[in-house]
Amino acid sequence: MSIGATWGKILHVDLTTSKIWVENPPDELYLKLVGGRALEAYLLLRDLPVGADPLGPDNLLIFAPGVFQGTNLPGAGRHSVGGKSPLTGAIGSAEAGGWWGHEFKRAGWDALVVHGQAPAPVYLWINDDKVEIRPAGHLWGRDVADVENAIRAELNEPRLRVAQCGIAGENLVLMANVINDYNRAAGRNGLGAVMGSKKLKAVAVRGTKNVPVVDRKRLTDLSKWLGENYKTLAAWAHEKGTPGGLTGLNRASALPTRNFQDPNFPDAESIGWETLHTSILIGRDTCQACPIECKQVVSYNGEEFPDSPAFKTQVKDEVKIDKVYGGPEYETLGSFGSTCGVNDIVAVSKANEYSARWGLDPISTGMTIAFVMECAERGLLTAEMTGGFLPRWGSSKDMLTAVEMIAHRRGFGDKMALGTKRLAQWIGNGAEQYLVEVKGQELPMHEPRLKAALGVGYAVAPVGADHMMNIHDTGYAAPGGGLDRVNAVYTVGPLPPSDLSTEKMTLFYYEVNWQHFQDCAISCMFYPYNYIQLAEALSAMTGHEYTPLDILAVGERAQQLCRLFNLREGFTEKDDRLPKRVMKAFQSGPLAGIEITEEALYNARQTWYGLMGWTPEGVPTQERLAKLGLTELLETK
Amino acid sequence: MVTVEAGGSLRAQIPSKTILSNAETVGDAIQQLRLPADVALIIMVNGRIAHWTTRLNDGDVIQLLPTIGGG
Repeated sequence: MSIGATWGKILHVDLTTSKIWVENPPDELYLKLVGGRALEAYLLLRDLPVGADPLGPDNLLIFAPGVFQGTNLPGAGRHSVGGKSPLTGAIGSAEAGGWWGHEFKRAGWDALVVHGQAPAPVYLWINDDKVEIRPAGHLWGRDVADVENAIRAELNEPRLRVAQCGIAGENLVLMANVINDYNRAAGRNGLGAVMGSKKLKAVAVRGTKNVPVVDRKRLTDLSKWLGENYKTLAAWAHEKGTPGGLTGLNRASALPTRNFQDPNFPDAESIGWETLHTSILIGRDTCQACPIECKQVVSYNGEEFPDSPAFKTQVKDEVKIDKVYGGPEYETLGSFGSTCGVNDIVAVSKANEYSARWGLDPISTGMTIAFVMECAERGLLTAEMTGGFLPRWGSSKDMLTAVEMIAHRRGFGDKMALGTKRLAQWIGNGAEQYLVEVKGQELPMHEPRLKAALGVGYAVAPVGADHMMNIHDTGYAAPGGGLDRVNAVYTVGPLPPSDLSTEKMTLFYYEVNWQHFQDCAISCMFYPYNYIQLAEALSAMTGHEYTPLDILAVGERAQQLCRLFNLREGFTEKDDRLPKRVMKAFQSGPLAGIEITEEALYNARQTWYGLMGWTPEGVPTQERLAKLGLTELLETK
Repeated sequence: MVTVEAGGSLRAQIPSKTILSNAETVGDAIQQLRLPADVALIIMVNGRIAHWTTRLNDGDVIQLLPTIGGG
């Protein structure tokens, strides 16, 4: 292959037949798609039969790093996992931090595509060019850390890295994640269940090859700039990580509380960073080649914290927390905390530990528990329906019990494991009106009534409601960061967070393409890189020149391919919607009276469809596909 | 005169209850504060969500809360 930082080799493994083969894609594929999500969407369009069962043998599970992996670019300690989502039936594409992606790329592969279903549990051992399918019956049913340690011992290779499905994935829980490096997750979309359905317990990798970067000096300059500036330009991530924003969001009515019902969580301080920092936080963790160290690590063994005024726990004597599973992010603090009305940092952190230990998506799991709490409170769920389990708002024990029931599909957990949309259908009696999901995927912990274009992003994201392939309007409320970045291609000044004007949607168009680009080349979105810098990095690595508009076109290609996939699976523009609950104004608090009307959502969506070159029905036009160079790519199957 | 209250990590940059005497809009006030470039802001005036062009009246209280965009 003549493109730097790629190998020209995609590894295919069919677990039904044990056949292993190598695909050598044309250069064109990597020049246009760059890897990650765009590559996943392309392969799914090409190789997955229309209407395939996401948990059947036809589905593909794709592990895809991008051009950036294996190069030591700071922020590139990531990879993507794709497939058809069993939670939504739409495309699934999820990214994880850690070391696995770096190691896999250094083994000499651009992607791994898993086909079929093994008759009994197996794991893959990829040791540079050597690929083995090995029995995993002895690993099935074991916790994540236990499995990773066992594989490392069994193969006698301390430097290998492991990605795996947890117990939740084995049990086909529709909100199961793929876990790597003990506590990192390719989260959302239920891809852990796809892995479990294939009886693929794990993929262990060891890579010793140097990724061939064409012009390393150009990269060195960028790394040097980052080293000199990350402490100021990514200060929020460096100092407090994602938990740092929780109490501020609560003051603005934007911390989702009790299934997005309330404008305020009175006990937000008890699950905020200040409490975390003065109680159970014991250190930081990071990803490959990352100096920022945004990950919080916690541990608990029954201590009390008199110097932490807002610390409280209901499970002091029942719960211990193992530091190997890391610590809670903002999403987890919200989903198991305020969203369930739980003010207990120990219980929330334990639920986070369970999520990594068993391979659950904390967002969908917490939101499902909150939905069950609401349905129980409203009398829609009865003890007869749930086997006696009726969780209550604010109960740490009920919340933790629900997590355990979901992961193991124990009792009513068998129903909760299907996520809120299917659960509402099963409950009936109008339970659907309390759903807070898009395309079957539960909302993350960001409030559309504060961030209106984020709400549009929830509606149109190909994977269902997602906060990362999206913009956060508050990042464009004042000069600096986000505006500086987009001003490289589009001149615009500060815009109100509630604004859905053509200006805002044009900014949204460019910035969402940027986010998708970062999931193709694969770079951490917490890095302060701009369009010009990553265009420079991609050019330096590949030896082919990319402008800022060229890299944004890569992100747009990913979105166009995802859209084509979803359309052929039966999705329409009617699925690009928002749950009514988050469109209706709060009656009190800083956001009182701020609503998103159906008309405003429709108009914003239509503006964006137009910018994407889609018809008013949300269908990509042949002209735009041709302009992006996708027509010939899709024809050369 | 308007008062600025900062939350979270902005407290390190903006002293408690900073008084500004000649800010006509929120944008004027924020520019005078010279905030770090990476901060995503929730802006409130007198407890209500506001924005860059919101006009200020004597005695208004501006609250600036750093926020996040991921996690």
